[in-house]
Formats: sequence, C-alpha cells, structure tokens
Amino acid sequence: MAKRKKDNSKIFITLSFAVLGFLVFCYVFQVSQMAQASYEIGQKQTRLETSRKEVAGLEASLLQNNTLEKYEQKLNEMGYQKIDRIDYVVVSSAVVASRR
Amino acid sequence: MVFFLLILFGSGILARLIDLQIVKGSFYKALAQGQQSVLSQTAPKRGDIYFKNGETLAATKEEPFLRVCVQDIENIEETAAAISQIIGEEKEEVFNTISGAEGFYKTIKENLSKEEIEAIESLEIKGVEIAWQNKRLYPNLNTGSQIAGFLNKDGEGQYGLEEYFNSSLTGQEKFENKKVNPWGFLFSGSGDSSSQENGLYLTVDYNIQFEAEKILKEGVEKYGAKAGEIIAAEPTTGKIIAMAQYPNFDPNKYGEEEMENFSNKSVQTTFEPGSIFKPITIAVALNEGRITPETVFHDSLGYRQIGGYKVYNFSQKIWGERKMYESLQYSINVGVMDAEDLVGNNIFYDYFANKFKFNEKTGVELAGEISSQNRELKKSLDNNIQVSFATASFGQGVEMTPLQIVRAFCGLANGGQMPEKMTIIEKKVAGGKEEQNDGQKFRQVISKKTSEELAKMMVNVVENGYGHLARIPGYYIAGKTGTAQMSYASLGQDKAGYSTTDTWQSFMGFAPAYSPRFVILVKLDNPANTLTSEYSAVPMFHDLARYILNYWQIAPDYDPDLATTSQKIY
Repeated sequence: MAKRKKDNSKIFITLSFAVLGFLVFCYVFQVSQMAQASYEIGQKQTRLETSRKEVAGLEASLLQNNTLEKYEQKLNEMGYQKIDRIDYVVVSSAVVASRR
Repeated sequence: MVFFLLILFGSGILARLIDLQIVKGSFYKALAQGQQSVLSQTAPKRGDIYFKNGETLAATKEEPFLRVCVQDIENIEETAAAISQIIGEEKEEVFNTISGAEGFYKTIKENLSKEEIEAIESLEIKGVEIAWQNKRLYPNLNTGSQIAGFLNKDGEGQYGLEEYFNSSLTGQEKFENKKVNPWGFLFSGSGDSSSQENGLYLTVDYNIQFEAEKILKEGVEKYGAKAGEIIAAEPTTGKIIAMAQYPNFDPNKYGEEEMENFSNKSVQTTFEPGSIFKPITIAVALNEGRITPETVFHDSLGYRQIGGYKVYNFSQKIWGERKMYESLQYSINVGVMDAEDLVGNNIFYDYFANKFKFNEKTGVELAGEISSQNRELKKSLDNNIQVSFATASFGQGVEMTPLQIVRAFCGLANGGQMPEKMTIIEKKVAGGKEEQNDGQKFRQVISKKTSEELAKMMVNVVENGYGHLARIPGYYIAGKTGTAQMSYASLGQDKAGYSTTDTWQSFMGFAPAYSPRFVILVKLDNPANTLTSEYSAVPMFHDLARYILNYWQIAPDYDPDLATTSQKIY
C-alpha cells in the first residue's frame, strides 16, 4: 500500500516537472518569437522610414518638375507651335445629321 | 511531506494571484497600460494650398539637408575636403563654415540630391549626417507668389493666403496613444494622419494664372512700365480666376527678394482708375433714366468750365455734337461730365458709396486688404464742390483698389447683380473635413436693362472705338480703355497735383459681352513707351481674353469668317 502511494507521488512529481518543463519551454519559445517579431518590426519600420523619406524627396522633386514653365520649355525644345485660332463647327439647330 | 509542500506552494501562488489579479488588479492593469502605450504629441503638417484643379501652389515636404555635429568632428580639414568634393563647394568655404560654427550643429547644405545623400552616407565620417526637416515648398516659384505669400523662419505665414489663413493652415497639435512592444518599439502605423489634414483649394485656375503672368511680364517689359497687375474674375460668382502681378518674387527665397514686391497690389494699393470708370457713370445715368445711348451732348470747347476750373478732354480735343455712346467710344470727358451733371451729385455719390461700395473692402480672403474712404469726394458733396464730381465722373480724384473696380464691373456685366464679396477660396479642408465656399450674395446695383444697354455701348468701344485692339473675331467683347494721370502722392512725392508725364494705363473688359463668363482688368503703372492704354493694356487684354475663350472652349457669338472687319453697333 505504502509502495503504491510512493509510486503515485513519483508519478505526480514527474508529471509536475514535465508540465513545468513544458511551460518553461513554451515561455522561452514565446519570448524567442516575440524577440524575432520585434526585430522584424524594427527592421521594417526602418525600411518604412527610409522609403517614406525617399517618397517625400520624390514628391518634392515631382512638384518642382511638374510646372507649366518646365512643360513649356520642353515643348519649345521639341518644336511644338502654339495654336493661334480654334475653328468651331457650326451645326444648325434644325439639323440632327447631314451628308457631306 | 512533498505533497504538503506542493499544496503550500500552490496555496502561496494562489494567494499571490488573488492579490495581483483581484486586490491590486486595477492598479497593475493601469501600470501595464502605461508601459504598453505612450502618449504622443504630434504637430500637424502645415496645410497645402492648391489651385482650382489640384495643382500645388504651396506644400510642406520633408527635405534632406547636410549638417555637422561640430564637437564630434575629429579632423575638420579632412572632413571639409571630403564634403566639398561631394556638394561642389570650395573646400575653404566648407572649412570656414564648420570651424566658425557656434553651437552644436551647423547646416552645410540644403536641397540635397539623391546622389549627394548616398555619397555623404558612404563617407561614414563621425559628426557628418543627413537630417530631415519640414520645408515649405512653392514649386511654381514666382507664379502666384503674391497670392500665396510665404512662411517665415519662425513658421508664421506672411502676406497673402499664408498670413490670412495662418492659424487654420497650421492646425492644432494632437495627442494620441501609440502602442509599444516589450522592447520599446513604437508601432508607427497606428497614427491617423488623415484626420489632421488642413488645406485650401483656390478658385484660381493655374493655366490662366500662368498665362496672365506671362502676358503681364512681357507687357511690362515691352511697354517700359514700372509694374502691372492683371485680375480675371467670374462675374456670375465673384470668383477670382487669376490675379497676376509683376514684378513678383520667389517665395522659396523670400530673404533674397525685394520687400516691396511682397504686397499684393490688387488689394493692398489704391489707384485712380481714370476712364475705365466712365462706364460706371454712364450706367448710373442710364439707370436713373437721365440719358439714353442716343442722348446728344455738345462739346464746343474741348473742356467744361466749372467755377474757376477748366476740366479738359484728353489732349484738349474738341468733339462737337456727339451722342452718349460716343462718350465711351472716344472716351470724351465732357460727355461723362454731362451725364454726371444730369444725375446730380447726391445720387452719383449714393451709387459710388452705397451701391458699388467703393469705400468698402471686397472681403477677399487675402491678408492686408485696404480700401480708400474717398473723404475728399464726401467733403465735396457736403460743401457742394462740383469740380470734384466732374473729375470723379471720369475716374480722377477718386481712389480704389484694382479688385474693387473688378467687383463693380462684375455687377455691370452680370445683369446688374454685383457680388457682395470677391472670393479666392473654392473650398477649405480643416481637420480632414471639407468646407465648400458657397455663400455668395449679390446686390442689384443697376437694372438688367441698363446692364444690357451698357454692354452694347462697351461692345461699340471695342468694335469702333479706342478698344479696337481687343477685338476677337467671332466674339462680342465689351471693354473700356483708361489712361489716368498719376498723382504726385502716388509717385511718392510730397506735393499736391498730378504728374503730366506719368500715367496708369488700363483696360477693363468682359466677354462674351452678352453672356459674360469673365471680367479682366489689365493695369500698367507708368509705361514709358506708350501714351495711352490703346496700344499697351488693350493688346494684353486681347491676348488673355483669347486664351480664356479657347481654353474654356466658349462657342463664338457669330461666324468669324462672316465679319472680318469691325461691326456696326449703333
């Protein structure tokens, strides 16, 4: 009877240590995962910040290049001519379609 | 024994858990929340300003700049040599900037290119770094500079919209809770920046503004003028579609510019309009039923004798027997003096001050708008001094801002309905919410019939009078020339009277005359190469009006091929 009681205690202690070990493992695993995730977040935030600054720089550059003065210079270089007059087609109000 | 110890240990843990979770639960919860989040104070980005169709007039952007931490630099000479090669400046200059620096940091160069940034970062010199700063950017340089104003070094808006809307563009600082992980990394994605957005959308059309500034610059240079302004507005809404001024300035480099160019002369200076005022006098006389376009007047002397004064026509020309429509066609002073005389000073002044509101600001959303009180005219009314009203009838001796006379002409063109307020704001964005500007009110200053008769008389000026260079085949254009003598006071001289050589030359017109879409004022200050506005402001008006007619694709009033010469109106 006493031996059986001793065996039960051993099992109980073993199981307790096993559970404790499992919990410690889970904790270490979780901490490791968190550390990894945090590192990745940090890396991504740095990349995000770099990209944001690059975008800001590109936006500023785009704004400065997207002006009529620059377009006009470019058009002149390409030899475009300014139109002097626009002719509108006059359609009589009574006519819906006509043959030409 | 072991079992007992385990029970004891378990009970201890349970007791501790009860203490942590229940007894002191709320305390630890608050403590944890404090560790997991930080209260972040964010100053909102200054609101951007856009033209009508979304092109940027002013924006706040982060820009890189090169700075050195003076105390961290080990060898200034070597550092200066390395930096100077990259940024293309003299080594001595960079050396002097670093060695003469006071304080911790010294900025070496702003507006760095991508290549410069990469090259500097690859140097890896201690104390040399790329930093970022918010900078107000005006990408169109001088275009619309007097509308925008600028942001000074202290972040305060100066002149124009930047000053008028300084507080709403600045916005309010915001506090928000941001989450951090156990290692202290901030989750930057949690902020909601859209709710902080501020901005302005203007009624000004970028294309028309650009064209107006180009025409004005060429005109000022060609006619040898000291300065000039062009205003274009929609008479049916009171919205400003262009407000050009030359000389102007680059708001990005306001520190290097002439201070006198900062003010917006369209709203911050007054002038004597001269003959472009004549249609107002004629409109008053028509509206009061004292004249018709066919009413005859007699000019046998080339001047009118008023008390001890002789008030002359331009170049003292004698016109003989003429009709009222010719007083505009040939800009005859005697004709409009007669019209004013028929109306009487009391009624004329009532229109001037109370209906057209020439003594009151237009209410446009630009900093520093002024208005003349025209006290001399009021004094003349009280003391019955007729000569002041005789000269006022053709726009001398009365002062107004260019925008005030544009508002009056909006009324003349828009069936007699004058906008109470001129506006340059289409919509405002405050804290992410849009506020549309649609609160325009109108005042009936003259009848619709008078407006139509006047438009016809002004079309006659363009078809057969001094405004002939404003003619655009296919369209009826209404207009009036103006050449006013400049007072010595306006020339900055401390004496009474008028210069015999210095003039304001202007042209005021609207198109299409019988269904107006826009009103344009062209004004040149003291052109040296032309005697009258007929050959200066009028062709400039023509160029801008033609551009807008084409740009807005406004259909012609008649087939231009059928009327290649001027048309008979009367």
